[in-house]
Amino acid sequence: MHPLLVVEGLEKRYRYVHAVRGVSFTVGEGEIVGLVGPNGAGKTTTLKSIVGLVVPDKGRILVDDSDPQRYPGIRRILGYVPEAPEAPRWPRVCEFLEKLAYLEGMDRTEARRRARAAAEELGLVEYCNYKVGALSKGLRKRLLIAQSLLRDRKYYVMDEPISGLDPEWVAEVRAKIVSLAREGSGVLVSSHILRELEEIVTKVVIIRRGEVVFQGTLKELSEYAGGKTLVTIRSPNAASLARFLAEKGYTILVTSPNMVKVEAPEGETPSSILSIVEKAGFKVEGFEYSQYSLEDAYLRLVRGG
Amino acid sequence: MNASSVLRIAWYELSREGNKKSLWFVVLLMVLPFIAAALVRGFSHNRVSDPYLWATIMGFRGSFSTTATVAMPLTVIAWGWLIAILFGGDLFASDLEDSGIALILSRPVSRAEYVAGKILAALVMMVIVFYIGGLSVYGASWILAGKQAGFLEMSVESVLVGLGALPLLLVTALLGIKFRKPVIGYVIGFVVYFGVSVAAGLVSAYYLVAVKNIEAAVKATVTFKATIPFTGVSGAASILYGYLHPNNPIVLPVGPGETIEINLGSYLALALVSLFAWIIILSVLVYMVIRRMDF
Repeated sequence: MHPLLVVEGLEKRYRYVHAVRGVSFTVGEGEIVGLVGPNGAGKTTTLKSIVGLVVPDKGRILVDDSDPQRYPGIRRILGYVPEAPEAPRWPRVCEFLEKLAYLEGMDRTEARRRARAAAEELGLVEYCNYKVGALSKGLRKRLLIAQSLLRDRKYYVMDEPISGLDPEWVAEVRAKIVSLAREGSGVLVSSHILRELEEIVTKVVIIRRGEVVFQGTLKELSEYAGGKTLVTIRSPNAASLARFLAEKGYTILVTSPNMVKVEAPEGETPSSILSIVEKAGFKVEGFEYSQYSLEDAYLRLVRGG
Repeated sequence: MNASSVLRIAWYELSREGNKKSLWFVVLLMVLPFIAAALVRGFSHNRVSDPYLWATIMGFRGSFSTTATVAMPLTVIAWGWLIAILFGGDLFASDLEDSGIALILSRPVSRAEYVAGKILAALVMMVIVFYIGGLSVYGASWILAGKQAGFLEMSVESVLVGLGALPLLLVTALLGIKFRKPVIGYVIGFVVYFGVSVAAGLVSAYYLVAVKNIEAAVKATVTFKATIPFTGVSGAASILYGYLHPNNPIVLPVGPGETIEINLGSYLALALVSLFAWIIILSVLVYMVIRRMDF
């Protein structure tokens, strides 16, 4: 597979934060790559660097062998969906799409045609004459997705495209992403929730504190979990139980006011963990164990386990 | 730099400006001379014949006639500094505030093209606003003082006023970008305008009080205004008028009941070079700031 987009050793430091530290990955033709990580992991900075909105300190970004910072013309084949559902409030919906299409170098007739098609695709035709400022957040998000579809592109960079959408449009947008990839485009899509993407991605890049901690297929992520067992203990004093288990060297995956989820280390069975907890005097109200899910593997990676 | 991209950005910016309420405020300012002229004409039966009344009202020609004194604050020229600040403050900062910049710069447009397109749009906007302002004054003067002369001259000088608005507009724009908020651009724009005006006054006061040389004081003030075009928008245009009408010098008040006449024609080259130099320097500064910014 010939890579369309190459991110190599990307570094970006803001005044107080080292946001991205040597991030590298590729996106190939027809691939849907999920860039996943918790809030503040560096996903948005990475995506913005690719489209040229953030100036990287180090590293290389190549789209069809061209650097979009140096050769902005290459962005014609890049579609970008920003994360925040914000857009200029003054224009009307279809007028705005038309203006953006015109900025891409289309003539007015073509710009109008493409704007209408993009609005139709995202169910915005009935809002064509609404001012953008009058749209709800969900509709604005759809508008931002529509503007990335103003032309057939080889590559799409989508920053949390389904966040803020209602369930019907989550399904529609997922289907659209899959259809773009089927037509041969490479799609890089970010989320802080792996579950949102696991049905559609062909590859996942997990990023934590600006560093890539895993990249590979979902099958490889599943293998990474290595068939380990997870133990869920329900207890009224879950917080102190979590501290106790962490001190004993267990990897804590999830803590809530009345639940702790830990990884069973090699050589230990769920029942031996239960016995340690009970011996320490913790009240146990419920106890379950299961195999790692993809989400658990992801949580383990982003929590540094 | 691709000229087509620059023109497309300029067009985008002009359509944005067309949606601003402040534009309608400026339009209102533009029709004020007409309203004032119609009112004055309605009350006065004695028409003063003056083919260059437009130049007096626009502040290019020294005169202290009642008509000019009343009419001048009603023209867009008098409020040009405010218009420059209002347009400059959000020229770039509004794109930062509403994230429009992400949607523009993620398209095949370089940052240099973006900056050039925006500044071109600001230039076109200022020239249109002040040209319409000039036409309005010209028409109002016709109502008040009969047939007016120098239509072409008025056109050229109005265009020059539009250009004259750019230094203050660009300073305000630069500060709006730096602080990512139009309102901070407006506030600092006001500070620059008043600060430079006070500085010009201090230069004049120094020559008057310390050196006790009225002519030197006036020349220093004119040189200051010609080289540092932030005290208004009509500096270069006034000097061009002075150059075209050597027998019609600017009359400046220098004390109670005292005035001095000065031919500004000799300052024309200085004023024009300074104006263009400031526009270029400030445009480059805006680009330098935007070039390294993260959006």
